[in-house]
Amino acid sequence: MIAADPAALGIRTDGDRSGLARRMTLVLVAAVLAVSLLSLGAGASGVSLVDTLSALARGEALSPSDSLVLFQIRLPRLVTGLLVGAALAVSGAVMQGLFRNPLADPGLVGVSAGAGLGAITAIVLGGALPPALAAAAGVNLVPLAAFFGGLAATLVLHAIASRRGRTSVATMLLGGIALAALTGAASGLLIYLADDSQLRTLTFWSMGSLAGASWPQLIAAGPLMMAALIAAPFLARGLNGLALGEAAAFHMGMPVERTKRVAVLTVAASVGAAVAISGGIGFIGLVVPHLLRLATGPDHRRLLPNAALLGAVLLVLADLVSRTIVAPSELPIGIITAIAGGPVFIAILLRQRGVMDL
Amino acid sequence: MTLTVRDLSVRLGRRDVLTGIDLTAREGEVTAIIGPNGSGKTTLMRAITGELPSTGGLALNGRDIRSMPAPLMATMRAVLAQSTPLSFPFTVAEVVRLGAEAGGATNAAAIIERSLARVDLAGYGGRLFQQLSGGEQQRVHLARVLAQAGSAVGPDGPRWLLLDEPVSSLDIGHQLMVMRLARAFAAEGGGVVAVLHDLNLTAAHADRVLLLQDGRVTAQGTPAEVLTPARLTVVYGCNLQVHPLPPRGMIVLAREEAEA
Repeated sequence: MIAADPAALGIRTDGDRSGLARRMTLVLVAAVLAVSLLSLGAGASGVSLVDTLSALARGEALSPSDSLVLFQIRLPRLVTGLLVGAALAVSGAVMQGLFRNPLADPGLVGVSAGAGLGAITAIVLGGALPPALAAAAGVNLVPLAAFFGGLAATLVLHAIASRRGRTSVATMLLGGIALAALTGAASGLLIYLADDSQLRTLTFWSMGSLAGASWPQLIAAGPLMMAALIAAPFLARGLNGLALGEAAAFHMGMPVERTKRVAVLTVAASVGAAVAISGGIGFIGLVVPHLLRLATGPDHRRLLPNAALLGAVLLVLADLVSRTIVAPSELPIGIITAIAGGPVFIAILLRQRGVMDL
Repeated sequence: MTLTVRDLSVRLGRRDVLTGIDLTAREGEVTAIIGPNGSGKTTLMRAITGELPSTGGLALNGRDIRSMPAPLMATMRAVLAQSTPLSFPFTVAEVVRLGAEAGGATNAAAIIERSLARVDLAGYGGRLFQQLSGGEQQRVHLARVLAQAGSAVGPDGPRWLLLDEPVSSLDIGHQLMVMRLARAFAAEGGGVVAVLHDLNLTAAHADRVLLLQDGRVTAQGTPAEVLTPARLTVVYGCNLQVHPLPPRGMIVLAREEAEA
C-alpha cells in the first residue's frame, strides 16, 4: 500500500469527519430540491414549471391538462424516483456494511434473483391465470409477482443461513449464489418457453423504467420501499460495530443478531418493492455508498442518510435523462444508470488504487 | 469483586476444547493465561467474553455473564481480540470512537485523544487505519479497548480488560508499554485477564498465572509457583531453564544442547 496523505481526502488531523458529513447532507438536501424542480418542469408534454408556478402565483387556475400532467404523471413519477433511488442506495450501504464488503449489492440477499423469477413467471405464465385473478391484479401483476418472488427468495435464504437463532453472513453469501443459479435456471426455462412479445416485455422490464409510476402503485409500494429507510437509523450503530467483525461488535455491546435480521428483512422489503415497480436498475446501490464513503467516511450514522439523499438525486436525474434524451420516446433507465455508473466507478477505482484498501 | 469461572467446559463440534476450568481473577491483579498452541487459551477467553457457548459457572462482579445484556456487559468489560480485521477506510479516531461510545463516554473526543496518547499514537487520529503497520493497528485496537473501559472502576464495580495476546505483533518497547498499561489499570482498581505467550513477560508482569494444557488447567498460582523448569519442560515439550530475576520476575531460557 502506498501511504497517501489523508489530508488529500479532506480528513482533519483529529480524524473527525462528522462535520464534513453534515455539510454533505446540506448539499444533498439542496440537490434533492433542485432535481425535483427540474424533473417536475421537464417532459414530453412541454408543460413548463415556471409558467405553471407564475400562473399559480397570479391566482390563475391550472388548465385541466396541465394539472393532469403535473399531478398525475410527473409528481408520482418524481416521488417514485426519489423513493426507489433512496431505497436502492440505502439498501446497498446496509448490505455492504452487513457483509463487510464494498462489493456487496442489495441483490445479495436473493431478492433480485427472486424478484426476477417472479416477474418472468408473471409475464410468461400470466396468461394461464384464472381470468378473475388476472383481472384483480391488473397492471400490477408483474410488480406483485416480482415482490413476492423477492420476498420468498429472501426468506428461503434466511432460513438456510440461520441456525439456533444465529445468522451466518458467509453462509448467506454462498447460499445466495446457489439460489441465484437455481432461480436463473428456472428463469431461463421460462424465457425458453416465452413468445416474441413476452420476450420484449421481459427485456424492457429487466432494463428498468419508472414509466409506469402512478399514485395507486406508489401507495402500494411506497411504504415497503421505506422499510430500509426507516430501519436505517436503528441499524447504523450496529453496522459500525460489524465493520470490526461480529465478535468485536458483540464485545462493544452491539445487538449483532438483531442488526443482521433487521438489515436482511428490511432490505428485502425495500429492494423487492423497488424492483417490483421499477424493474432492474443497477449500480445505484453499489456506487452511491462508495462515493460517500470516499467523501465523508464510513460511519453509517452519516453514510445511510446521505446515501438515501444521493441515491434519490441520481435516480431522478437518470430518469430525467431517460425521458428527455429521446423524447417523446423513453430509454430504459437501467441503461442510463449503467452508462453513467460504470465509468464513474472505474474512475474511482483507478484514482484510489493504492491509496486505500477497499 | 472477581471474574469467576467454575467447572467451565466448551465443546466445539464433537471435540471437548475445554474441560473443567476453574479460575478466579481478582480486581487489582493481572491474571495471565498461558499454555502451548492449541491448549485452549483463546477458547477460554472467548468463553469468558460471552462470545462462545459454554457450560459451567461464569460470573463478572458476581453477575452471571450469560444472562447479562450485551450493552451492560460492554460497560463492565472491554475485549481485545487476537485479530480484528477492519473493513472500510475508517480513520484511527473513528475506530477509537467506536470503543468510547460503547463504554458510554460522553466526552468522546477527549477520551480518544487520551487513549491514543496512552498507546504511543498521539497525533495519529487523522490517519487511515488501513495505512498503519500491523503493530500500530494492534495499538489502535488497544486504544479502542482502553476508550471503552474508561476508568478502572465504574458504577458496577471494577472494570475488566480481557486481552487476547495483546503484544503479539509489537516490538519489545511497546510490549512493555502494554504490560505497564495493564499493571496501571489493575493498580487503579480494575481487573486484567490476558492471554500471553511470552513467559518472561508473564513472569515479570502477572500476579497470577493459569497454565493450560490440552484444554485443562495444569497449574495455577503466582508466577513463581507455576513457572517451574520441570513443569514448563513437560508442558512445552522442550528443555527450559528458569533463572530468578530479583526483585520481580524471572527469565526463561530454552536449552538447545540438552535436547541432543
